[in-house]
This record gives sequence, C-alpha cells and structure tokens, in this order.
Amino acid sequence: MTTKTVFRIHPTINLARVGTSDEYYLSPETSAGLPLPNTTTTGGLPIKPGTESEFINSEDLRDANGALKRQAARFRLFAYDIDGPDSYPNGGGTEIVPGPLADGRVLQEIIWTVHLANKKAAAFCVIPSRGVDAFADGKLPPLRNPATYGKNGDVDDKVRLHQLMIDPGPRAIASSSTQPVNFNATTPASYGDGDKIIQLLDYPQVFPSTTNSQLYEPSGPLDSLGELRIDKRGRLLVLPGKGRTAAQIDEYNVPIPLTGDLNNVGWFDDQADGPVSATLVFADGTTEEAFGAWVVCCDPSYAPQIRNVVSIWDDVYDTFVRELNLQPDLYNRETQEFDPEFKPAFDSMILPVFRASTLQRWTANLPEIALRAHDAVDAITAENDPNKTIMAGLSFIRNPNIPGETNIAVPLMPLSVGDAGRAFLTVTTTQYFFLEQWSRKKFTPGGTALGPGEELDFASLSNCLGGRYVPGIEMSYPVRQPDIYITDWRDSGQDLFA
Amino acid sequence: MKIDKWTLEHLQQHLQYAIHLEFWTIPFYMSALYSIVDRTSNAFQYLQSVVNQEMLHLQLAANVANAYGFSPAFAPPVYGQEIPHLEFELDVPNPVEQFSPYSSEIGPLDQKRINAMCLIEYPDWDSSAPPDLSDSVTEYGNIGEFYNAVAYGAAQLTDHLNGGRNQVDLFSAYYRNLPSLTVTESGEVGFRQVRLLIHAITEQGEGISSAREDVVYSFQNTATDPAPQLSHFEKFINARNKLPDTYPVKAEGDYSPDDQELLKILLADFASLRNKLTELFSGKNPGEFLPLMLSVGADIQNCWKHGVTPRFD
Repeated sequence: MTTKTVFRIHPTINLARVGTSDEYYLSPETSAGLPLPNTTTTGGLPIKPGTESEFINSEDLRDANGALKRQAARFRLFAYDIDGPDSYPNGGGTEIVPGPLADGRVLQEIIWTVHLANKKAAAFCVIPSRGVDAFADGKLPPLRNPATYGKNGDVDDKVRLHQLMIDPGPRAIASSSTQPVNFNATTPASYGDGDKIIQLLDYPQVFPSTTNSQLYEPSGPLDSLGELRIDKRGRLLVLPGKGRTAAQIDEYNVPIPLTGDLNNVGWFDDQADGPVSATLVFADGTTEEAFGAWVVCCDPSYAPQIRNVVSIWDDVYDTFVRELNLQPDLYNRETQEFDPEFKPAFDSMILPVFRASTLQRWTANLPEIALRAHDAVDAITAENDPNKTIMAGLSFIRNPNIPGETNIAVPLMPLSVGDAGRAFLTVTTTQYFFLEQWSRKKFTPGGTALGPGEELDFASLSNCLGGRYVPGIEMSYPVRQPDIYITDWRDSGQDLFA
Repeated sequence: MKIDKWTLEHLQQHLQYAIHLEFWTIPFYMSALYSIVDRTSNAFQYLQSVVNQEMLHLQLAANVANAYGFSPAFAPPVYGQEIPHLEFELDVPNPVEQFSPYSSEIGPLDQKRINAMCLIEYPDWDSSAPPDLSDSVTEYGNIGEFYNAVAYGAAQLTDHLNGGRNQVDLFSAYYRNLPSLTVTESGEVGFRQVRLLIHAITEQGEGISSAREDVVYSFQNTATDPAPQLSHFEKFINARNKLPDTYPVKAEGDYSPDDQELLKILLADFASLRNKLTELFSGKNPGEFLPLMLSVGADIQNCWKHGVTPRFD
C-alpha cells in the first residue's frame, strides 16, 4: 500500500475560556495534575502568549485593571504518513507550519475557518434528574423559551431559531494575517475556499440585539462571540467572548428574572462552539483540506491543575473504545467484552485516577482520614504490588457495572456527586477495567506512546470536568453520544443558512 | 468476692479489658462485613456503620484510659475461643438460646456469626442498680454492664483523672452534635466528659431501653451512617432477618501460593496496625496509621474475593 500524507488539526477538541479582559493566555497543552519531566510543576497550566510552552503564573491571570484574562485556544497542524488502515494510538505525526515540508512540498499558507455559534436559548431544556435519558425512547424534553414559537414551535423552526440563536457566521483567517478577525456583526462572515477567503456579505448574522430592541446587558453589549488571531508560526488562536449576558425585557419593562441556574427564559450568553477547519495552500497552487477540529468557548478554569477523577477525556475515550471500535485489541464491540489480556499502561491509564484522588483536597474540606488515604493512593507506583496497597482488591472503588452502587456513599470512591439521577459518581467502565487489570497485576509500567498531536488531544480534554453533565462545565452529555463523532455536521442539517 | 471500692489499678485493668474486647470485635465484625458480596445491601451498610463505630468506641475507651493514666496495649486477638470478658449466661433474660448457634471464629456473615454479634451487643436494659464489682471480669453479661462497672469505678477515682493526656480525635467530623470526643478536663469536671464517652459507647451499641427508642440524637453519626438512629443490636437484628450472599470460600488445603500471599499480607498489615494503635494511644502520631487501618479492610475484602477466609493470628 502506498504511503499517504494526511493532515490533522490538534487538539481535535480545544477549549477557549471567557474572561473580561482584552488580554489572553493560551490553552494548556499538558494534562492537569500529572507529573512533568524535569520540574515539580504539574500539568494543566495555561501558556504565556507568544511562547511555545512557558507556563503562566498567578500574576498572569488578570490584567493591570484586574480584569480576568481570556484563554485562547491554540490549534496546530500536523502531518501523518499513513501507509495502511490507521489505528490508535498512531504514535507519530509531525507539526507543520508554513515553509518546506518533509515530502518536498512547500506550505505557503494555511487558511483557517472557524464557525462559532450559540444555540442554547433555542435548544431543549436540561433535565437534571434525567440528563440524556430525557431523550430516551423517542421522547423529548421541553424546549427552552417555549413562548418564542415561530411558525410551528419545533426545535428546527427557522423563525424561532432566528430569534434565539446567536450566529455571526463563519470567519476565515490566513496564517500570514496580522490582524484579528472578529465574530461581531460589523465583520462580514467568510470562509476558506481553496486558496481564497470568500466573504459572505449576505450571511444572516444574528445577535440578541438583532431581534430585541431592548435588552438588559449588565456587563456590556453581547455583540461578539470572540475572534481569530494567528501566532507568529501561523497557528490559529480562537479567542472567546467576554463572558457577557443579555436578558430580554418583560412586559413590566424589567429584565426577565432568572429563576435558577438552568433553562432560564429570555437570557443569552456569549459562550459558543463550532468547527475548525484548515486548508493547506501549497506553493505549487494545490490545496488540501486537513481533518477538522472543534473549539468550545466556555467557563474559566480557576484551578487548572486540579484533575477530576473522571474527565471529559475519560468519557470520550470510553465512548470511542466501547461504541466506535477505537481499539479492537482492548474491547470487542461484537461480544461487548474487554480483552482480559489487555495490559493498560500504568502512567497513562492508572496513575491519573490515583493522582486525581489526592488533588480533591483543594476543592473540599476533607477530614484527616480522607487526606491520609488519598496520600496513600497517590503514593502507589508501578513497582508496588497492588495487593499490598490501600487499593487492594479495589475495595473502595464504586463499581460502574453495579448500578446500585451509585447510591452508596463512603467508603466507596470517588465521593463526588453523580450523573443525572445518580447520587454518586463512578469511574467510567473503561477506567474501571484498567483498574481491575492493575489489581490483577496485568499492566505495563510507563505510559502509552502517543504522538505529539495525540498528546494535545489527551491534555485538552483531560483538563475538563467529566462524569456528570447536568449541565457539566465545559461540555455536556452530548460528548458521550457516538453520533456526534460520526455525523458530518455539514450534512446533518445543522447548517441552516448554507 | 464482691468489691465495691475500686483501686486505680483495678480501674486501669478494666479499661484494658474493655479495649481488648472492643479491639476483638473489629476484625470479627469487619471480616463478616467484607464477606458480603452486595455492597448495596442493608446488611453491608449496617455492618459498615457498626464497624466504623467500633473504631470510635476503641478511641473513646482509650481516651478514658489515658485520662486515668493508662495507655492501652493491643495484644493479638484470639478467635475460636470464648469471647473475651463476656459471659452471656449472666444476661437476664438469657439470650443464648435465642441466638444459637453462635461462633467466635472468624468467618463470613452467616447465622453463627450474626448470632455472636447479637449476643455481644445484647442490650443491658435492666441496669438501674449499681453493678457489683467482681475481681473476675468474666462476670459481666454484656458490654453495657461492663461499661457500667467501669463508670462506677471511674466515678470513685476522679482524683486520678487528668484531662488532655494522649487524647485522640479522629471522628469529630462525623459526630457534629457531640461537644467533644476527648477528655480535656480533670477531676469531677473531667468525669462528666468520661461519662459522656461511656454513654456514647453503650447507647450506640445497645440502645437506651427496651422500648427501642432511637439512639440519643447527639450520639448519632451525622455523616456516614444510613441509619444513625439504630443501635448496633438493632442493626444486627435487621441483618439477621435477611442474611445476604457471601463470597464462596475454598478449603484451606486448596489455597494457591497467591492465596497464601494474600493471607500473609493481611497478617503483616494487621500486626503493623496493632503496633500503630499502641503508638497512637500513647501520645505518638503515627502518620501511616489511618491508611494502614483502611488497608486492613482492603486486605480482608481481597481475601474474601479470592475465596480465602481471613486470619489475624
């Protein structure tokens, strides 16, 4: 089989985080709480802008006026030489920037295209006790803002969407650009098409102010979902909005009151997400599309080095393993069984759970017995006999395969709030299998050999809260649905204005 | 011979016996607990809460002992013989017939074990008269009577009561309605604290009266107990009414080398735990005590999961 060069954007899902400042730092490229070589600093810290990997410190969080800086999501482009069916982990991949490539071609330009939108006000309500189960058996939860009926009152109603969505349209930026491109109403929509950037002057951009003559905007106008920038090496930076909200005014001429933390009628915010694509323009005039990515603009992370026992990475990895045949040598989709001979890598698949347990002391006032127990868990190394550790027999781990155990508190761990309708949290099914294999002494020391791009994917998502998603923080329960990873958003009918 | 005037030496001896008995119950109850397969069962949850409280009782008894100038020792408990310092035949009415057969051997939660547990925690509800002191500690019918005797002697020796000596407090976070779980005062004032700790032990264990009222509110666990209002005796009766499945066990002759290794690990950890308990209750602060205590629990459960009956000697 001939070798083919494939281009991919990493991280495949990256996070921008809102702040109130014009200034920003860069998304972390190390995994929260995990040890790093040649330093006592643990992973998860964001990066100083303009640097490759220099960590911020506490003085870099706010600007001179005290405003919280935003986190810009930095995306890199990688080239893979694939000579057969791909598998995970690939372990390879080389970052590329404009200039000569290893195969002799010259990369002249990268045209990045990002489309941010916020459809929260038009979506279905979050039902805390049901989560994604509210969609089971063909049922649907109620719609948010039901009084905004449109023509037929259903979730795809275009009139309703026009009133409730925030959609500035896509934006494109060339890697040679020195000016930012804003997702506001005064910047035309644009996208990359081959070696050109095409403007969409008629794109139906919509903000809350488009369809509301009056709004309550306590932090300033909600008039942008962020901006695109380019760093000095041609990489994409996606900056989020400023964390602004807007509320409709009711018939009493006052802002519609907030009634809770979810599903509020008449309120908007400037968080957003959407696809990231890259077109490679070569000096010989040819172009090639990279495999795309996704950006999520979400809440600040105030303690980025505190790892969660279950992160979004763990949930997404579990979904890919058990639903999308990511690693057939680990899990057989036909028999729905893990391979009892699979040996997880301790540093990648076991240690993160142990490390996360001891970091919870920074989020909860734990009694001494818990602190000492967590220290003992964190002290476990690949050289220890599992039967001689405090984790012997996994006696204190809540088993995700026994549904009733989500109702049992101490001494079962993690002692965290559970997912929709469940009192307490469990590790994912795949995490539990890895722990069982460790308990059976079927594991290998060291870590999984990930390629540099794959490391970015792991770091990015492992810095996000997983396990419970009503509504979650960075992302919500759709991250566990296999459909979103195999459905082309271009063909899904979601791009209403194409 | 009946004695109604206690010496300090006699009180200290009784306190050591009380601690010996409390310590004896912990591996016995814990082994039965972790033999249960379904951790969501009432039996598991109730026994778990009892084991947690027995550890509290150990601490409380040790705090009283230290207040009277004595740091307890933790000799290896012996199973399969008489339950130390209790003579069930002395209870009125005699509960042995109701709770037979019973066994003091380490084993899974079965009829023999649960009957033994019920006998140990059998309520001493008819205790209006001061107990007769005897120079043989086998003359107490149940734990309640035992501690009533201790309280009687302690009341006579308040001149020897010094608060703040080697006190340990690992469980305050779980008992928010109690003023203190340590003896901080001396003399008569300190005795009020001593009496509170003894009441906590007896009322959590047995319940307050034959009317089966709830455990006194201030003595209830405020954090980790699924039924804090129930005494140990009532929890054991509840478990006895519906015994859960336990792990199947192998005959000792069928143990593999890996199985033998699990027993060795348990024995080593338990021996270390006894040493750490001695250090803990003699004014030292062994940092590894708490994880070691949890490790012993994990070792026991690991043994059962592999079909191995735990041992402690």
